[in-house]
Amino acid sequence: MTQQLHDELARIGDAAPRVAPSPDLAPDLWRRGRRARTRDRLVAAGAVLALVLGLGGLTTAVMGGPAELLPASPASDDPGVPSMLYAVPGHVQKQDNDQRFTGPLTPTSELGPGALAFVTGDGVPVLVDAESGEYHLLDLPGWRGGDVLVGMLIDASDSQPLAISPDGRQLAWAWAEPGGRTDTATIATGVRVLDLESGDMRTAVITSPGRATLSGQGVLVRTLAWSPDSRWLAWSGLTVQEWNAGGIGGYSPSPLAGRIGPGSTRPGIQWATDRSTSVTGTAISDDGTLLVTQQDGWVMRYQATSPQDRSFSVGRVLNPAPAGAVSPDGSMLAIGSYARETSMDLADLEGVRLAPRALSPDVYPDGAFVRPLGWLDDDTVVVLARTEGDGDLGRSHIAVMSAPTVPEEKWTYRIVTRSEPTNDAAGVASFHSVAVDLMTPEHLTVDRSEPDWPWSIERRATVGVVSGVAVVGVWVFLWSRRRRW
Amino acid sequence: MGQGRSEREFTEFVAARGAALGRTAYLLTGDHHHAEDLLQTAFVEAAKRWERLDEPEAYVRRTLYTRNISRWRRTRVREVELVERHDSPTAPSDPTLRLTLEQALDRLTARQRTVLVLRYFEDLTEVETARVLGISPGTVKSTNRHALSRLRTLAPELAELVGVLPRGDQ
Repeated sequence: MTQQLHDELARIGDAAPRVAPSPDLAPDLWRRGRRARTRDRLVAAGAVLALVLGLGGLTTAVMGGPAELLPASPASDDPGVPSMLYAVPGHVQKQDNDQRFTGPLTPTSELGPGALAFVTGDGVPVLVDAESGEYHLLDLPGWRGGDVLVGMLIDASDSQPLAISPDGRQLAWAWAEPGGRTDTATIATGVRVLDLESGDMRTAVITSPGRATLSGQGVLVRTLAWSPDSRWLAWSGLTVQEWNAGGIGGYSPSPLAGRIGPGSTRPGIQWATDRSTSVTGTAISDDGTLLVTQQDGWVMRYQATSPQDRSFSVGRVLNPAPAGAVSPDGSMLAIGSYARETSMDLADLEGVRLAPRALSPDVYPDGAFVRPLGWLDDDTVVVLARTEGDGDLGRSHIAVMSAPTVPEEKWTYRIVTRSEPTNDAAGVASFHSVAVDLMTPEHLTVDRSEPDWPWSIERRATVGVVSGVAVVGVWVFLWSRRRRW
Repeated sequence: MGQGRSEREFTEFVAARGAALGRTAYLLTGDHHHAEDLLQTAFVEAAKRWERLDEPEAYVRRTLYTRNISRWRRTRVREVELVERHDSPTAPSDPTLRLTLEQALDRLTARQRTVLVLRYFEDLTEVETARVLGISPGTVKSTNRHALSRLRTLAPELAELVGVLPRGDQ
């Protein structure tokens, strides 16, 4: 039976139409096989990668991710200003019911010198470490930058009272401690300065002079500016006649500004008048000369050596920026503009005249919002420039540009730090302050890795699900390749 | 660009063994087009790992067997319906024994048909068949017995041809 069945089967096979591929088909079969081999290798590599990532994702999802911000992997250990600014994701900026940020926060005692400070769209102050590039979200004592009430009086995208000293060793901010809803007493307000190396903090209490208390009167500090040598600190603000946990208002347009000396806790109120204009910005030189820009456009100067000396004008500008910067030699004041302009306003303090510096039409064909951040040297200004609309601060960049003291044929302009484009409004920096001493003509910025932010709940869930699917998929793939029946 | 050594060896192998392997493919599938597809698939699989194959023909045959069963699995719902519909003695439409056997083979499952081809056309033992297909010898024995029994049911005139159980089944 066996042989007979074999013969019958052989005859069936012999009688069948020829199945063998033609000689011309063999090369095509070969190529198909080799392509399939390449494809399989890619799939296998992808599967292994998915498995590794999946297991990592599962681990993270199960373990809950890192408890706090991990340091950015530095591309360089040298202190420096980062060449890229990254947005702080909205989910990282956690708030409790009292609008206090709950983390992940870095205690002020654990900070070191900073390269840059900024305030997020949600009002969280952030310090970028000078050496590691790590992003520290801060819970600064008395910080009101994210306060909804304060936001009713101050446009956060206009100004934020946070400033890192040019040498990166001190961080200053405005503080206030409003009382309960029914409190009517004058509240404590002022400026605090943190020594980033020692962790020591000094507090300057500012009390508005000559005003009757209505309900929780206090001084709302709006701007801060350091002298080039990081010793003097200028501030400006306005008197708020009602400020407690229940509301804020009744502020006086009376201009209010001052300077805090090296190591001092005295607010050094320099100027308080009843004039119907307000201070828009301040700057201060190494010798303590206070410069104030007013809303009416006048730039006023007050000598430190003669506190009673009345101001004199150096010129009038439209839309002055909140904080100016005096050149190291004290001869120039970079003012900047609150509006889009085709030139940057500077003031020649020795010649007592304005010296606008035209912006390159090639770079800014429609003008730009330009604010001074400091000086690289006596002839080079560091600025924050923005070309887009008010709602697109994420496109701002830091640049260095020649001052008008440099002959026009030698003017230079260079963008040195860019901001990561983002649609996360909460993460967009609304304000920047830079330790310009860390920038040198030879090494303007350093490259840093993107911060390793903690994962959001949505991302953990997504990665967990995708990881599970990937693991099951790889298992099924491997199982199906082994299975024969 | 000229052919590499591996490609040349592969081309020679296809030319030399294509016809014999094509017959096996036809016996496994019972359909000319399916057989061509199956054979080409097996050759492509061989090309993928040509450098690692010590016995290319054995690999291609094994691929034919296993891929045929996989193909049957993918369409088994439809084929099960056919089996149920035709799982009764049918009068042969052609008086020749060969066509009757071919018709009867069409009504077996791919697994049964493959076991029969390996056992009676390829002349493999139960152990060899089991190893090639990756199943146990006991499964080969039971599958073979069921296949022959079904052939007798489907085509009683094949009783003489398949009436005696093959060696090892008794």
